[in-house]
Amino acid sequence: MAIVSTRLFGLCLASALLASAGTAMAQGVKVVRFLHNETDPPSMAFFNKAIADFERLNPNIKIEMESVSTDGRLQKVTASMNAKTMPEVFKILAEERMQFARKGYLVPLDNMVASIGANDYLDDLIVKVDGKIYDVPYTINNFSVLFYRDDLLKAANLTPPKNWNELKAAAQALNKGDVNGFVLPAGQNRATSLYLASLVWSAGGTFFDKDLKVTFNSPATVAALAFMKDMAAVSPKGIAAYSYGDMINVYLTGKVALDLYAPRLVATGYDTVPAVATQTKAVVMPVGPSGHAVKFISPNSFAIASPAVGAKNTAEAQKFLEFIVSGERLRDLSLTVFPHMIPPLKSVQAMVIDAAKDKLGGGSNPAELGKVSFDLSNSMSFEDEAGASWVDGKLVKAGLDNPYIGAIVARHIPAQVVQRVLINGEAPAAAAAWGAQEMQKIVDDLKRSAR
Amino acid sequence: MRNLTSETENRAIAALALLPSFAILLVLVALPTFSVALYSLQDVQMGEAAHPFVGFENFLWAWNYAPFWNALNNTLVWVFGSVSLEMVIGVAVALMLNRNFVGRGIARAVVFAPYLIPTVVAVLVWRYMFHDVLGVVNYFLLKAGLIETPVNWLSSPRVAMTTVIIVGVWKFFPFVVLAILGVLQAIPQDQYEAAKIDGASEWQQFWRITLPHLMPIFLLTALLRSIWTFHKFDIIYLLTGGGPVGSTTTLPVLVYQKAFADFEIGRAAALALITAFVLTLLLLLYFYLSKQVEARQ
Amino acid sequence: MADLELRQISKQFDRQFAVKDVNLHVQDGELVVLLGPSGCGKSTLMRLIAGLESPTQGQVLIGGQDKTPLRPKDRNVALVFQSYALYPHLSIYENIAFPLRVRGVPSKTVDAKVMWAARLLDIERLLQRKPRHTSGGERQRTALARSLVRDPAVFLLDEPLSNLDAKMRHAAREELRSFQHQVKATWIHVTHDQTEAMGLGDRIVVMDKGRVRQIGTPGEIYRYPADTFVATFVGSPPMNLIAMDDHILGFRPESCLPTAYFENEIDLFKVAFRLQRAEYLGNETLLYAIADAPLPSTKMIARIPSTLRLDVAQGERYEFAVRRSDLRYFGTDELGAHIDRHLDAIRA
Repeated sequence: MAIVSTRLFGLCLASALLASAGTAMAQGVKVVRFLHNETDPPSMAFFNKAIADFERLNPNIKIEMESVSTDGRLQKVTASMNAKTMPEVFKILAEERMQFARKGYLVPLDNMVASIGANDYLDDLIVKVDGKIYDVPYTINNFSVLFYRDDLLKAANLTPPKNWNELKAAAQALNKGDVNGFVLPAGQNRATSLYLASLVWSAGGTFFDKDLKVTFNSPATVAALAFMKDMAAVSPKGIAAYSYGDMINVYLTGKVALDLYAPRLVATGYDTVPAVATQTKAVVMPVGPSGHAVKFISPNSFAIASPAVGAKNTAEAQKFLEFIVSGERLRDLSLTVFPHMIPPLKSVQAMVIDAAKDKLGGGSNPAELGKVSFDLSNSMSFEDEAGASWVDGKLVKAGLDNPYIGAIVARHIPAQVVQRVLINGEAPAAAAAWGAQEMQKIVDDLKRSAR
Repeated sequence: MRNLTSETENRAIAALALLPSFAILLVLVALPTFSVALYSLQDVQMGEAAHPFVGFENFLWAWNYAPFWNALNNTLVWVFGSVSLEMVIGVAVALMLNRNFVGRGIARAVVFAPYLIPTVVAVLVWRYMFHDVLGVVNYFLLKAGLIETPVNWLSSPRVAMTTVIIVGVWKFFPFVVLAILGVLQAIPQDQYEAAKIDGASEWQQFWRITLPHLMPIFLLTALLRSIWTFHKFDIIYLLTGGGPVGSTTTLPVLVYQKAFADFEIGRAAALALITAFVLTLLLLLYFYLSKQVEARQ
Repeated sequence: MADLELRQISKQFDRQFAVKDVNLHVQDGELVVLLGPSGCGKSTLMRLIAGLESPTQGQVLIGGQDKTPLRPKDRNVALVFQSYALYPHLSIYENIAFPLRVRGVPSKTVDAKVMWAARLLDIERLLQRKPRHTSGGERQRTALARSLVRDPAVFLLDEPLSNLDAKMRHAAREELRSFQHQVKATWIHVTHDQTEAMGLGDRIVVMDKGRVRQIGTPGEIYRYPADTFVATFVGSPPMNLIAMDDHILGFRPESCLPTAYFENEIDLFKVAFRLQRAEYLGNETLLYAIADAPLPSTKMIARIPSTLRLDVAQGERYEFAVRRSDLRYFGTDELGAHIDRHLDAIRA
């Protein structure tokens, strides 16, 4: 009797489990994996809240979030693509989109953008690859805001510089005692590459022309390198090893007078060293020898991976993505690091400036800092700079797809050019020539393997 | 007849017992090595599906690749500089710890601490300490009047290798202390007493008694440290990333950069094989030299 | 060679005295044995002479000069360790040459001296070998040679025969003695073996618990022990000690013989006992007995040479005798010092 009932019990248990499993599958709790690199605590808090809100509204979708460091992101993405374990939603940089899209690693997002409102996006932000949209920006970083110590400038009777000569003069005048006049990046990293890019553009040159030929070796590049060399002389000696964080930290020790940098500086400063941050004001980037100043902006986008590289619930992923990159969520995201995270939607920009009144400790004028930071006129990035030109005092982009720039930047070629000049003491002309040569090698390599 | 069966049985059992270890070695060592060797003969890019066979092109590329020779040079400087300092400091500290003094237990714990701290943690802390503006090293050196301007520990191509060696030596000299101390404590005390009575000074005792006793373990430790230092990746990568301007890029760092930053796996594999080859040459040289030393003894 | 004098030497470790109040004068060329059980302080005393330890009190004089503050290498003493302490990585030749090389003696002189010492100790054919390829005896001779090349003032040897097997010890004892005579060395020999001490020493220093119990020739120590410790430590089997009313009576087993043996001698002391066991050893027979009235019941041993015919039975009572001149008297206190009761007790 006992044996029979044990067997019966076992059978019942098994069928019950199978039934419940079956029901679960039928109900389908869909998991959407989400990879990003906004690892600072306010951003993490924002994402956690946004995810909780979304899951409440969509009880059959579960979001699994994973964060990674800025430097480690590309590696993780590439490795996941290779292993076909890509998360559904992931952070993508502009210079990566074309390569990934053309290989079929991304899902088109035209419907989603239409739903948000394509016209609400700032000009030139939405970029199509072969007629389709594959990534949507959630924030823009402006790397070319000139921050300065108002107290130090006033004490030296200086006004905020408007061009390179004035900037150089002011930095040299303020470079005394243990205060450095300036600080700029010179490590072998993306920060240095983009710094050089904005200076080359402001000197009237570009890396590639409208025929996608390498035009890196130009008088503009030489001028930009010479300028960086002069400015390095009044910067801390350790810049060759500085990362993003180091530049901020050094400025916040109070030992730097002028800093052409991203507004994250101010956001961090108000949290950690208000004494220095409250003395900091901002103006638009000084113009270069071409008479113009071209800012480097970095749109940060999310994309959705395709099943070809292992993504599964792409429809649910789109729902989640739309949720976090628009409306009030976008406003909240932008406010986590004000004024560094610039919302790409015009409607949200207004919301942010409005809500920012009590940010930054209410001290110095947040609206003013916000306005300077949000000024994205005459700005470019790596992937859309090819063949840009000036028409009637306005920067006009050629709208070309540059398939080579991603690899060039990933190998830190522009950064290496800067290091050759600043650390090895190589002549700017020779370094520019070397840089162009290396870029050409990569172009040839890519052309060869594309065949 | 019965004996034969148990013989085969024994062999079978032996083979079975070895099977797990063999399997692990096969999967974790043999297969990857074979894959790398294969990759070195192919054009492998991360993300590309096709791996066309290119023969020795990758090796030829390495031969003409200036950063490769730079990395080779850096590796030799790194290994020789680190290991020689580690051995000298290690022996000196072991000799000191071999004496009886108050607080010896604490002294030993302090000496071994660097070896026990996780590399990543230690190196990151050192990175902050060596910062030119924010770091404590420059701060104390300036305060003590030993330097006049801050030293660019991590950002000057001339200084960076020294910095990296300092951190490497700091981390691993305790290993040398450990090895040497063991042997030191096994040297019979009465040999020193006999030498004392015979008139030997402290230095003579060290040179004529301690050192000959230490020589075998000294050489072995130097060999092991050399091999491990040759392969050391994390200290250099975390401290300087191989920079500035490649001044601290050693062969392992270069292989990593080529494979996981430039995504050129085939070329990286070729570099890795060349690295292994260089190391083998060094080992042969070491064995030859140590035979000479032993013969003279 | 020189003479060695120890004045009021004491050595304390923590609270314990390893050596207390030792006074000793060793003549130039004399062989003195430090004898005692383990822990008696003989090795410590030797190390004090060598300079490996510093005395808490007292002085060490060599050749009339105070060497107490000097380091071992400046005292010109040679110490042969129990383990010989040869350098394993050097050849026998280089081991012997070591003291000379360390003092920077020119190679030619080194060679001459090493060959001379090796010849003296008959180890010439071993010179190219390493210590691990030699026997115990050969290593000892190497250690001696190493000491010899320095022309030391004093030779110190720490239990040199303990590492040799029993058969070798006899021959080695002979060799050591003849070596010492040949070289005319002032020689301190440490041992716990009293037979060895008796056979070797010109004089013996008996030590126990850090103190010197008696210094004397083998004859003095054997026949006129200074206290009960010396009486029982020296001589095998030990002296019989019987506790009387106010003193301890002592007589050696070989002094206790059947009364008949003594024929007409007067001045005999009667010793009656009951036999427990007789042990026939070939050259002698040991009688293990318990003393009987009028003596208190105490264990004792009588020693009968085989040249004396004797038939004994277990359990029987026998009456033996001891010459009164062979009796010794000791105090009942802890020290058990000898009491001089007889007018005709002569110190030789």
